[in-house]
Amino acid sequence: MVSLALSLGMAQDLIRADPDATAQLLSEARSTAVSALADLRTVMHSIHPAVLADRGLAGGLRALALDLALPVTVDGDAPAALPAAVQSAAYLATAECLANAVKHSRATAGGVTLRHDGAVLRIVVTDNGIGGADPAAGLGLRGVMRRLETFDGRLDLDSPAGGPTVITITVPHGPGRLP
Amino acid sequence: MSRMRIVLAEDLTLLRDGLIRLFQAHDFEVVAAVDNGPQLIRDLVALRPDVAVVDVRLPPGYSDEGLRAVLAARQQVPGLPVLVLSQYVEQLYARELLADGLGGIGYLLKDRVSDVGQFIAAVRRVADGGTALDPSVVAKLLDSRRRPLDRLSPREREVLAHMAQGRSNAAIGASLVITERAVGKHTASIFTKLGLQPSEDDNRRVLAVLAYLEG
Ligand SMILES: Nc1ncnc2c1ncn2[C@@H]1O[C@H](COP(=O)(O)OP(=O)(O)O)[C@@H](O)[C@H]1O
Ligand SMILES: [Mg+2]
Repeated sequence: MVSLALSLGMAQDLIRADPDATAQLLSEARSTAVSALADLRTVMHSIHPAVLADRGLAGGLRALALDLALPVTVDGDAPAALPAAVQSAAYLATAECLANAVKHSRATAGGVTLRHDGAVLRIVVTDNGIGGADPAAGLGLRGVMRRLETFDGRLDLDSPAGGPTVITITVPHGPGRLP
Repeated sequence: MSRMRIVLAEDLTLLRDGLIRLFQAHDFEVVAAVDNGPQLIRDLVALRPDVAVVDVRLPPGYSDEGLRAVLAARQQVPGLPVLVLSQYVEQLYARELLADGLGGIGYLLKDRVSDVGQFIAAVRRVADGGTALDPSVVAKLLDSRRRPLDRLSPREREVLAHMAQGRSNAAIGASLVITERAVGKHTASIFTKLGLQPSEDDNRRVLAVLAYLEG
């Protein structure tokens, strides 16, 4: 963005004196802007994809599942009035589990099921892979667990050697809960 | 050729005005330029433009109003050509746009507008009932493991990627620097390997390929 401003500033300076150099600067500025936008989009998208705001948690997870190198079915729905912070924590937790399934599980299929009542949202993430998911062996699952705890949520693992892996994410969403 | 009538939906004043000027300079008639979803549906259905260029994100909700408006309008006017622009592209949205199988669909990243020549060509192609899919959506479609494309040669995959963007055999030949005949041969082989019905018509070929990739 700094180099973009610089190119534009120089172009403004040169526009009368040297139109050819100006054209060159503007073309550089354009490619800088385009690649800066692409970088920004990638970062923003992994943290908070717009489709999450558009379509809610289940829609966001459906969109995510389509992009994975593993067939994953998404079933069920989230409460309509899910607080944004809870939605985001639940999304990132599920995304981490799915990323793990792609990276570590050697599964051929996965699934996400969303269920909720007046008090809690429960998301079950499964894969038919080799099992052995272990929070002590990495940072991803532990980070997710810590994040969920701040919402009184939790993540429970059932991942015996030989599989399958079943991970249950539980987050309270009802009124009267701590923020 | 009479001037193409276009409806434009973009809420950012600066970009809207820029696009209006761009289209006028390329001999389109901008019959309406709107900045919100409900107005867009009304204008699309009432004015029946040759093509619409629509930002996904529009007031009042600033979520996917533009996309929803387009889908609603195409329910009433089947095949109404629309090119949707977005800050990011989602396979989910591409699939929703393509679901009716009628063609006349474009879905591009907003920054593609900065390549004016290609952008205008994409708008014209969509107006013609063709397709203009962003290369990044196509890459995602090709990446999904559900449909193994291993049977295709590297060159055939390349041709397939271009075809899925909605490009004609002539345009593919030009960008891969091979003859249109050679593209035709690759296309025929791709269709055989994927078990698809061949077709002489560019648009229909593209739709067949997309239907296959969406699995
Ligand atoms: N779905 C899974 N199937 C098999 N193993 C898994 C799965 N998820 C996680 N694991 C194992 O648990 C470890 C810890 O996961 P995680 O905390 O996400 O760390 P990371 O993904 O960074 O290695 C992984 O390194 C992997 O060995
Ligand atoms: Mg991990």
